[in-house]
Amino acid sequence: MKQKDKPILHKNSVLSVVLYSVPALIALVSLKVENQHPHSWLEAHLPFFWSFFAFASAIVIICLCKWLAKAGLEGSEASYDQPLGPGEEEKL
Amino acid sequence: MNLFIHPALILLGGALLLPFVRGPLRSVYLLLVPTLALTAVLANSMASGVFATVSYMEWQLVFGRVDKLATAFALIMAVVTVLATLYGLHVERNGEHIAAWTYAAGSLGVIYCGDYLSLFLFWEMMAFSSVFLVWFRRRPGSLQTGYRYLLIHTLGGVILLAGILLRYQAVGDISFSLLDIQNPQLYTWLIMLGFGLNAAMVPLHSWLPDAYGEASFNGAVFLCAITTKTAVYTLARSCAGFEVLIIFGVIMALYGLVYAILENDVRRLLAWSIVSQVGYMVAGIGIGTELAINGAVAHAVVHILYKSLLFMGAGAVLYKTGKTKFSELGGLCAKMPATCGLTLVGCLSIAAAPGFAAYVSKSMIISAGFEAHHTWAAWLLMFAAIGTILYNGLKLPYFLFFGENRCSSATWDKAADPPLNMLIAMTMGATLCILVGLAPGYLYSTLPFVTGYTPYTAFHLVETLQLLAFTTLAFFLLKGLLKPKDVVYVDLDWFYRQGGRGFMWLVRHPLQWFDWAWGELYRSLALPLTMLSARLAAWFDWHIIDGVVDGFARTVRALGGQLRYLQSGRMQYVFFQVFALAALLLIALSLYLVY
Repeated sequence: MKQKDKPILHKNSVLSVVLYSVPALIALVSLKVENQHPHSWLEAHLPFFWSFFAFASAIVIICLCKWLAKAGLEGSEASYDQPLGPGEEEKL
Repeated sequence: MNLFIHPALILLGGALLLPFVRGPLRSVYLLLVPTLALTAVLANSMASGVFATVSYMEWQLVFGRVDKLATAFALIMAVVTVLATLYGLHVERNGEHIAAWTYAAGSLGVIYCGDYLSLFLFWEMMAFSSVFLVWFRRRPGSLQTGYRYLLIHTLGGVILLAGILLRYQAVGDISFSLLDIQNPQLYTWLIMLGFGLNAAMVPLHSWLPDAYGEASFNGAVFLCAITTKTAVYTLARSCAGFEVLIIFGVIMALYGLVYAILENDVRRLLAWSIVSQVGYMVAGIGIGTELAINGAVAHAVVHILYKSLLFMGAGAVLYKTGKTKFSELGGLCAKMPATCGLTLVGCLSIAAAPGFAAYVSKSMIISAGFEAHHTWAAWLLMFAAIGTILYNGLKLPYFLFFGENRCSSATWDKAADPPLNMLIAMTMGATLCILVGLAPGYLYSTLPFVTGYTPYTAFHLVETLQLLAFTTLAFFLLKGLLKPKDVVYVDLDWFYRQGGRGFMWLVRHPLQWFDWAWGELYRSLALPLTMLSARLAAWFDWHIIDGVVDGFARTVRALGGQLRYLQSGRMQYVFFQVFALAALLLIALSLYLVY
């Protein structure tokens, strides 16, 4: 039996609450942990640096990839690998 | 103990005998052969040195060089051969097992060899056996994909061979060791590119998503582990510290990431992920410090573990539903809970979650980048790590097992957890991913150098948790943008596919037209001229050549006819003629003497 209308994750579930509270908690904990070997000035001095880095990078990646898709990467299967002419694929 | 048993011989011998093993013993045999190969690798790991040397013409071929680098790669290749064979245990077609074992034997041959000549032999063995794992999918497009795969790898083989021969000409040596990367020659570049093609180095990478997306459900498990990581081994052996590899590695990490984020096919996503993850290894080899090489080797080992697990998960979905596109799947956790749980272990492993495989390896490469002052490369690899969490830690499990159900009724009805052998193989893979992640001591002990790297520091733990948590938050906020769409994304193989189509057009149109025109020209002009010249030749032959020959024959015949009268056979005529002639001669002689 197909269960089309039963998504396991949806916006107003408990999972959504977890989704916001867990990052906030981890970000707070990060303030208490000292970085012994920082690789850059930003990392050493900016609070929540890695939280910000991850969030911003994820947004940039998703938006950049979608832009690249629209800019020309996206194509249909037929246009990508279409046969040479009607019935010609069978001859190959 | 200083004994060397080549595991490739066990696999090749096992493959040769497989068709003769039938009945209930076949499953036992299928498990026994790769297990024996793994045992041989474990036994070899206790030895060290050069074994199995053969003198061939003026060269010394080395089939058994055992050191830490070779042992680390041989071990993981043997482990994945056991897991992948167990995963496909119920596959009845002997050819698939034979191809897979020959392929694994080729990889082990490359790993243990100590000279370029035997390396090339095993290198080609890998290419020509692995293509069958694509062809055995037996879809209409499988044959063409396989030929594309073979053509590209043949090109790579030719590049590598050219490098090997030029190097031999220059230095008179075929030993497979670190190249002089400080003074790179043409042969250094050719050898590096030959290896790099198998490592899916951009722009020589398109064969990978093309072939791995098309392979059979169990063949892909072998493919995802062997070719690229064997190439990583050869690069680590020959090109460590070759800084151009850092650029190639970072490009691979980012390029693979873009396509993996967009990809609609589960297994092609995993294939793009290989391009991206192997990029980390290639960059690590380019950095070349002890920590970086250790990181590259460790990441190759754990990558084989989690990637084979992920391909097993995707293969289970393909095996049960016949589908691999996100746009035709979704919500499968309800029907395939065990597959979902085990695949999630692979997803957490590749996302470098604490306690899972890549947590203990990926950070080694990035740290090595910062420490060696390749800061830009380290930041970009860090950026790509966020992408890895996105496409493999979140997109793949969410759109495959959770979220909206896009299955057709038929697909949904077919969906179920796969047979027991597949689940056991996946469980073993998942267990290894967790074991390596929690207790990396054994993994670190197999690495080429002793560096004292410790992944479980409070800061690294919190840093990783921040990366995971905030990437997850961004994903759920923007997941609508990543919704599966039944489209393909144009890659660089578009150029050679178009090149191939252009060649076919050239053959079918201008060349075929020329062939037709040539035929017509011959028929209308050359043929009558040929006939005329033939008639002239016949006339000349008949009247001139034959005239001379026949005329001579006729003269001889006429003379013979005259002489025939002299030979009547009657004795009195003969005596008369002889005496008459003698009398004539006497008269003539007398007259001569008198006068």
